[in-house]
This record gives sequence, structure tokens and C-alpha cells, in this order.
Amino acid sequence: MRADRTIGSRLGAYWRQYDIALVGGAVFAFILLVTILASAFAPYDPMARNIKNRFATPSTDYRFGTDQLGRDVLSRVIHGGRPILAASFTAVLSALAVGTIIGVAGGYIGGWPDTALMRLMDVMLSFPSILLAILIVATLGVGLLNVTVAIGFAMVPVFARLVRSIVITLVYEEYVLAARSLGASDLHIIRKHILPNMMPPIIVQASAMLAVAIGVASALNFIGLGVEPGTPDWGMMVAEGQRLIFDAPHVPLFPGLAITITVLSVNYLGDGLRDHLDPRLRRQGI
Amino acid sequence: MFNLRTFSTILIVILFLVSLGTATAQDPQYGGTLVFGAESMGDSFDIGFWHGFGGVHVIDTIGEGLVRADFENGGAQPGLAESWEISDDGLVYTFHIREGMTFHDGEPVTADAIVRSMKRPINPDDPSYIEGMYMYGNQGASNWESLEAVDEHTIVLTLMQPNATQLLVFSRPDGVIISPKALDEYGTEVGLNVSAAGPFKIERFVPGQEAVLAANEDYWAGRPYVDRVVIRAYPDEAGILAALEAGEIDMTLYAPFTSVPRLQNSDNIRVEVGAPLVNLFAGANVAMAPLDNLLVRSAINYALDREVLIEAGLNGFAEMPASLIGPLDLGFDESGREISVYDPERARELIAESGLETPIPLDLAYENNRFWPQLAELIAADLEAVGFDVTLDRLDTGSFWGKVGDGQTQLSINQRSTFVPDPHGKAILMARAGAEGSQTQHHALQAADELDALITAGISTADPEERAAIYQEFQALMLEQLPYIYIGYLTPPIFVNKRVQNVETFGTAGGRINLRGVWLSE
Repeated sequence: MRADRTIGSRLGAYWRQYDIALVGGAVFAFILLVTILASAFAPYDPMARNIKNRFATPSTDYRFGTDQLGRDVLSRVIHGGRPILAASFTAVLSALAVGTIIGVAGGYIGGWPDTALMRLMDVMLSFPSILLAILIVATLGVGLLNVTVAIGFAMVPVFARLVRSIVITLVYEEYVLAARSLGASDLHIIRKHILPNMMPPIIVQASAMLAVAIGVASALNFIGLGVEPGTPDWGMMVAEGQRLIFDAPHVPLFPGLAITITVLSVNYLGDGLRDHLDPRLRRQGI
Repeated sequence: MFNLRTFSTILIVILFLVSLGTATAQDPQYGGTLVFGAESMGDSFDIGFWHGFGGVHVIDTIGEGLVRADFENGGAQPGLAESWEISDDGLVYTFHIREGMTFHDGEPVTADAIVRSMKRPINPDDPSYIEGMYMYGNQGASNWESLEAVDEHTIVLTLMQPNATQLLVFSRPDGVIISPKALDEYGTEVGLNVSAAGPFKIERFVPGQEAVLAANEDYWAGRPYVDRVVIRAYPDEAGILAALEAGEIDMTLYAPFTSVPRLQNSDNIRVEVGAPLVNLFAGANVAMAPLDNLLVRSAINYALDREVLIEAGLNGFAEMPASLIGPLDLGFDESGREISVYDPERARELIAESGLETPIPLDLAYENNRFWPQLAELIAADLEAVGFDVTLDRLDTGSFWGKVGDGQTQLSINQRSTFVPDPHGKAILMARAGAEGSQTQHHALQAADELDALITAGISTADPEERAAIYQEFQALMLEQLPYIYIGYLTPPIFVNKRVQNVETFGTAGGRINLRGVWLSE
């Protein structure tokens, strides 16, 4: 019993340190895998209608049941992550790239360009990201590409402000001053000394923003600003199934759960990464 | 101890009580509040500017026109006018106004008051005049030569041209008569303070949300049974369904059709099925390629599997279509059913014949509510199966009609319920005058003038047989030209709590609720 306790307490300590990150990471990796290889995992064609078999409840043939047009809900849920995840990843990576350029430029150059850029970012930040995204989609027009652009645009200031705040502390670090006194070019200093040192917080921020992006992309698809109706997509499926909540709850339930689980897993992964990468928050070892 | 005599006595008493209970349950009862769930609630009840069905339901519940429509048998029933005569040439209408009636504000309903209210859309000097009120077109006012109160209880209307629908349009929501005192006192704001002479009067109104209506003790046909009617708007169908099942609302037309099979087995809800008064159709913009091509429109007609559309898109709540005119309308031509059929092979042949490169790109516009999204997806699948590449254009109601009005839609699906039992209400969709703002943009149609002439003939002919023949010719031409492709005649489910009795399903099916005879068995 004593040995068990020891193993148990060691596992428990390990679990306490990495629990959320591990679970979040594993679940999200699974979701990504299923989404990328959707065609291999889906038991049926997500668009195939079977009018005679509408609103079938979950069974061994149709694990998640069928929807209002007799389409297999499981296959649609498996395929339905593609638009949202593609839009979210692209948006976050683009926002990260653009935000980094703006943040580094502002923080490194300083002076009036910095002030101008940061005031612009402040204006953008003053809009809630979903509202800003809706405004942008309303201007650009409906479609998944525009949803991606809108989310990315709305997230640029988050990265720009973060990067700038890191850069202004890094430029006074001794190794940067030393490199400069040795005659290193600005580009060299940014590439070799500044960018590598700001990666951990950026990664943490990116994972947090990915969860937000998935939520916003689902919401935009839900209100019909993203994918075309009928497309297997979690947000669209919840929107189409909303009216069936009392009569065929499985139709909106499963895509809704898919959104929830995905956002949760990304959040947990982000939390774990933050704990792991942020020295101020890093816990004591086992 | 029980003996046979005691037992028999108890049995007789029980039977008597039960029979008493049954008898009272069958006799109309006064009292109670009926809550009606609507899909919207406007900001005003101006009979010249309502929008959304919630507003119409309120106007229909508080209002009274010269006549009421008989949706079941066609024709008009007495309203404020207890009788009327129409001259042989169909030009002079003499209305005899019931005596002793009052508006909700206590003003007497006189011939002068009625004439004042009826002239509102044609009298720019009236303090309540607003340009563009619905009545001007809907009430046929441009065809009125004169409208006079000849004595306190007699009105004479003289027309320039005969108008076969003139009598019935007075039963429309925009035919409701408003108290002259309210028109003077509130002017253009009268929509917030409507004082009419109908069975209920406004007690409280929260714009956009609900209207609380109280029984009018002085209604000419007697006080309605229920004390109060609340017409409340819900943001979506799921909300309406939840409220219906929770007993929060007693009656609605706007719960999802998909819930009917379950609700039919419910302990407290009854589903009644309405008459086929509403047409569902796809309007083809004939001013724009590829729908300017009759072969393409014809291909769409044969591509639609209406049995599936009705079963899967409308949960079976529709009849197979024939034409723009409904099965209960004068002059309905059954033979249209042979044209509105599913024949995908023929559709493909027609597309090949058109010489257009496939897949033919086509936009399908629809409103993002009720059954439209589901219907649109099914229609798109049918069209793609025969050689179209369909883009679904899901729009909110305002954007949908904005796009239609600008002539920017290609194929668009919608409905027509006419508010009065007369074929003209549907035929007028093809009038030349409104073509630029319509789904079909039919000014570009080859037969536009011919159709317009038939519509005019249909309305200016008094003899029912002659009118029927005109509408048959109209239907044949419509089926030849196919500016509209028909989906079905909606037979909408009417959801009522089992305590609601004596629901008038005919008018209700067309969006005209009539609650004056409804009572609650509780």
C-alpha cells in the first residue's frame, strides 16, 4: 500500500503539473487528426441526403443520428471542423505575422511611428473582436475567406501590443546593447536577439487567441456570415438545428458539443503552455 | 353499509354531475386571457404601414371594416355595414351602416366618421395623412370617383371603372375604420393609438414586443368570449415552441412544422390544419440571364421534385401545386397540375436545347426563417442534379425584399397569401405597374401586356363565370411563360392549446386571425 501511495502521489504530482495541458493537447490533437483526415473517418458522405430517413435518432447505423434532410450527423460533425479550424488557424497565424511586424517596428523604432501605430492599435482594440469581425464581414461580404480576414484583422492589435511591450524591454538588454556596440545591423539584432527571446509569450498568446478565433468563427458561421448554407460546418449546423432543439435535439447538440470541446481543449492547452513557458508562473518540479 | 339503493343514488348523482360538466364544457364560456405567439411585432399599428404578421394580427383583432371576408365560402359578410347594394353596372355601392355602434374611444360610428377614415389615403389635408399608405393601392382608392355620406347611416361609393374585388378589399387590415377623434388627436402618430370598432381594444402596447388587447364590451356583435388577448413576439421558432409547450402561449402559426408529429400526441396541445390559401413558389427574374430564357425556366419547373419538397421541406403541410391561383379561388384550373410535375430527364433535355454551357450558374435567394432554408437546400439539390450550379443566398427578411426590389435576385422563393378570398390578390403579382419591384421583373416578359390586360379584365368584369374564364386564360398563359415556378399550396398547421375552442382555421391559414368567437374551456 505504501508503494502504491508513493507511485500514486508521484503520478498525482505529475498530473497536477501537466494535467490540463496534456488532456487539452491530446484532445485537440485528436480533433485535428480527425478533421484533417475527415474523409477517412466519416462513415457516410456528409452531403448525402436520405429523405426517407430524416431525424433518425442515434443508433448503431447512425451514431449521432440524422438531420432534417436525412444526412448523417456524425459525418457532418467530422467534416464540420474543417471550415472553422482552417479559418481560425489562418487568421491567428496571419494576425501573429502582421502583429509581430507592427509590434517590432513600433517597439524598435520608437518615437512618433510607435505612438501612431499604437494609437491605431488602441482604436482597434476598443471594439469587441466579434463586433469588429462582423463589421468587416458586413463590409467585405459573406464568405469563409472574408471571415478569416475579419478575424485575423481583429486580432492584429492583440499581437502588436504584446510584441511591442516585449521589444521595448529587450532593446535595453545587455546582449542587445553589446550586439549593437559591435556594429550589428538592426535586422540582425531583431532576427538573432529579439525574435527568439519573445517566442514563449507569443506562443502562449497565439494558443489563447486560437480558442477565441474558433469561437468567433463558429459564431460568424452560425449567424450566416461564413460558409454557404448546407455546408457541413459546426456553426452552420447549430444554426440549422436550432429550431429542432425540442424535436430532434441530436441535430444541434453534437456540433455544439464539438465547438465546446474544441475551444475547451485549446484553452487547456494554452493554459498548460503558459504554465510551462512563462518563468514567473512555472511551478516547482516534481 | 352500501345497499343497492344508496349505490344507485350515488351513481345517478355522479352521472348528473358528469353530464352537467360535459354540457358546460361544450357551451362557450366567457373569461380568460388568450396569448398568441407571433413571429414579429411592429412598432406601430398604422393600418397604412404595418409590417410583419404580428402587427397584422393586432389590427385584425382590434379592427373592423365595412365588411368581413368569409374565407370558407368566399364573399363578404357584414361588418360595420349591415347590408349593401351594388348597382347593375357595378359602379355604385350603397352601404347601410349599423346603428348604435361606437369606436373604442366612445365616439359614435357614423357614416361621416367612416368616410373620413376611408378618405385618409386620398386626402393630403387630413392631419393623419402620410404619403404612400397601403390603403391607396390596396383599397382601390385611385378608382373612386366619389365617396359620400348621404345620411348618418348611409354611404355611397361611386367607382370610375367596375372593380370586382372592391367589396372584399374593405375586409383587409388596411380597410379598418379608425375613429375621427383619434385621427385628429394623434395625427400621423395614430398607429400608436389606434381606436377602431373591432371586438378588442388596445390596453397596452410595448413596441416590438407585445400588445395587450381587452374585450370591447360594446362590440356590435356582442362582447367576445375572452377577456384579454395578448399578441406577443418571439425571436425564433424554438422560442415559440418552448412557450407553447410550457403553456405560456395558447395559439400560434409560427412553431416549427417539424414539431407537429410530437405535438399531435401532446396532452395539452392540438394541431389543426389550415386550408390551402397560401401559394409557395419560386420567382424567376426574367429580366436577367439565364432566367430570361424560357427553356431554362421550364427546366427548373421539371427539375423540382415537389413530393420531396413538400415531405422534407414542409413536413407534408402542403398540397401539390397547379398554378398561381389557389384551389379555393374562383377560376382555379386543375389542369395546371400536369405542368408542375417532376421530370428531371425532360429538364436536362430542355437545358441541352437551350445551348447554354453547363453547369449553369444560378443564385437562389430566400429568407432565413421558417421552412425557407430547408426548402432552398432541397431545391438547390434538385437543380444541381439537372445541370445548374446553385449559389444559396440566405438573407434576412429586410435584405431579401431589398434585393428583390432592386431586381438583383435571380431565382427567389417566397409565398403569396392574399388576405381576401379572391384570385385577383394573387393575379395582381403580375400587374405591369409593380413589375420593377417584383421577384419576376416581368416587365421584361414577352406576354407582359397580355397578362396585364387579363388582370384588368379580371377585376373589371362582374359576372363570376366570365371572371372564372379570364382567370383560366391567365393561368394558362402563366404556365406557358413560367415567370413563377410553383412549389405547393401551403396547408399550415395551427398550433393551439387544447383549452382554446372554436378556432376559425380558414382565415387563420392565410394569416388573418379572427378571435372574436374563440373561447377558453377552463
